[in-house]
Order: sequence, then C-alpha cells, then structure tokens
Amino acid sequence: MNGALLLALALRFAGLSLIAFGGATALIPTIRVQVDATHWLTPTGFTESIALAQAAPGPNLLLVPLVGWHVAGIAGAAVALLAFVTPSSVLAVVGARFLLVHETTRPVIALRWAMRPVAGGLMLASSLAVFASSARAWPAPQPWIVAALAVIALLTAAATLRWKLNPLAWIAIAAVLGAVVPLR
Amino acid sequence: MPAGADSPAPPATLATMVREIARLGLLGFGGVGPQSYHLFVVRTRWLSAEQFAELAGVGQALPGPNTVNLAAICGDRWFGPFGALAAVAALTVPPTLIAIALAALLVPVAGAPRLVAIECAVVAACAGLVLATALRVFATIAQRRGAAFVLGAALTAFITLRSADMPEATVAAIAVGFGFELLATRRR
Repeated sequence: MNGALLLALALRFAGLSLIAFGGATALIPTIRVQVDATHWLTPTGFTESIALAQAAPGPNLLLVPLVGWHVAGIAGAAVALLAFVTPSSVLAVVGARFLLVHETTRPVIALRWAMRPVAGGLMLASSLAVFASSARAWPAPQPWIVAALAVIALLTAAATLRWKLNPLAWIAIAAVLGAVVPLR
Repeated sequence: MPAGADSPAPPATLATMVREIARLGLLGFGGVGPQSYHLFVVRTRWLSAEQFAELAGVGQALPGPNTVNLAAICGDRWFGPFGALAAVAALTVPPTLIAIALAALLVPVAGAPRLVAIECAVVAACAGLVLATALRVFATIAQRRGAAFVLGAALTAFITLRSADMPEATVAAIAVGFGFELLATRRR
C-alpha cells in the first residue's frame, strides 16, 4: 500500500476536520477541488460517491471514507475516516469539558450563532457544487438534461421545505427518474 | 428537575451505549440528527431534554459532524476518553462499511450510462436537500438578526469559500461573528 498516498489523505482530511462547520456536506466544494487537482477520483466516481453517501444510512460524513476507499481501498477509507473524525471529536470532548464545567452558556450560544451564517454559506456553495457534479457527470450532457436536473434539485428543495417527508423518498423518486429518462 | 422513576440515568454499560449508538447510525437516512434526540432522550433516557439541548448545542457550536460531536461528548461524559472513542466508532464505522460495500458492488458496472444517469439524478436531488438545509439555516438567522444580516453573512461565507485560504478565512469569519454575537447579546 502506498504510504505517501495514505499520508496525503490523512493530512488533507485532518485539516478539513476542524473547519467542518455543518459536517462533511459543507466541505463538498473543497473536497471536489482537492479530488480534481490530485485526480484521486474521476468526476463520475465523485458523483457516485456523493450519491452513495446520501443513499446509505448514517451521519453526513460517508463521502470522506468513500473518497479514501477510491484512493487506497479499505486502508484509505479507514485513514480518511479516522483523520476526519479525530480532530473534531477531540475538540468536542475538550471543548465540552471546558464549556460545561464553567457553566458559561453565553459564549456557547454566541459561538453557535457565529458559525451558523458560515455553515449556511458553506451549504449554499455546497449545493451548487453538488449540482455541478451531477450535471458534469451525465453521460451525454445536453441543455435539456441540465435543465431537468435543475428542476429535480429545485423541486426537492421546495418539497423538503414544505413537507417533512424523509429525504430518502426524494432520493428514491430521483433514482426512478434517472432510470427511465431517455439517454439519447 | 423533577426527581422520579423517569429521571435520566447514564447507560449501564459501555456495551449498551455502543449497541444503541450503532443502531442510531444504521437507522438514520440522510443524516442522524433528528433521530439522536429520540435515542438519547425518549428511547434510552440517558439525558433529560435540557441536558440534550445543552450538549447538542456544544456539539453544534464546534466543527465536525454534529451527531458525531454529540456522541463523542456523551461517550466521554459517561465512560471517559475510551467511551468517546467507542461512541464515535459505533456511530461511524458500520455506515462506512455499508457505503463501501455498496461502492464495491457497483465497481463491475461503473460508468455504465444508465447507472450514471441514476446517480446524476440522485445527486441533483442531493443538491436540492443541501439547498433546503442552507435556506433553513438562513431563515433561522433572519428571525434573529434580520434579512440584511443574513445577506451579509451569506456573502461573506460564500467569498470565504471561494478564497484560496479557505480554512483560515473560515476561522476568521467565525471569530468576527463570535465577537459580534457577544457584543450584540451584551447590549440587550
């Protein structure tokens, strides 16, 4: 197994861990830039990883071990996951001990509100990057396909805000649409 | 706090905690946040609603996936650093194995146009889900600080993301917001 590659994965995801406000989802644009620059994944492989991360159960971080798996198999997945959760978890444990012992809730509340606009901005940029990954990976991109994908995205957003249906339902509907749409 | 039969108590053993948190990870589709309240407060009564709000609040204020942070904090509280490790592993490892198994299953058919079409449609829906999350975040902030603040904050965050020094800029943006929030809450 390529040690240098594992080290690169570890350093990259450990660095991202401490700015993951809003979880791994907020980091999709950054991860995409990284993946493109290093050719760790093809655009299609990256799109597939996003789809699987959303379709599988679990916390919103599965994209990270999936990228690791594509780069260096099971060892890569383990390294990427470990590197991504360790710094933030250690900070959470230490931070909670400090913040809860001191019973100072005001800084905690201020910090929560301070990270929210940043998380919101990251999420907004992330939704654009996720959409770009979708449009870019389509087998034979045509304007009407991009428009149809945009309609799927906007309908999903509107429907999620309007009705509290399980996100998996929208994923399933989109999968069916993708299965029946003519490819040429 | 009302004392009684249903006052919260920590998990009896490390194994119980690991089992329940692993279950949480495997049942939560599209993120485990909403289900975590049910697990910690309703199902197991490990935390009171107030304790949950306090601990989840700390988890949300810090970087990293919210529920992973919450699991780390609770694991550490109940069983020390090893408990934190066990809780995080229980939450993240089983779903990771499932995701990798799915990815491995798809390898023989990778790149097939029909599969890619399905994946693209699913990812478009993901973009919609993330957009909805962003809009919810902005709606919450707008209620507290007004629309102009949201616009400024969103622009700042967006520019931050496009900048080359993304980690440093993100930390700087949060530091500025933190100072602003402390000042704004002091005046009232």
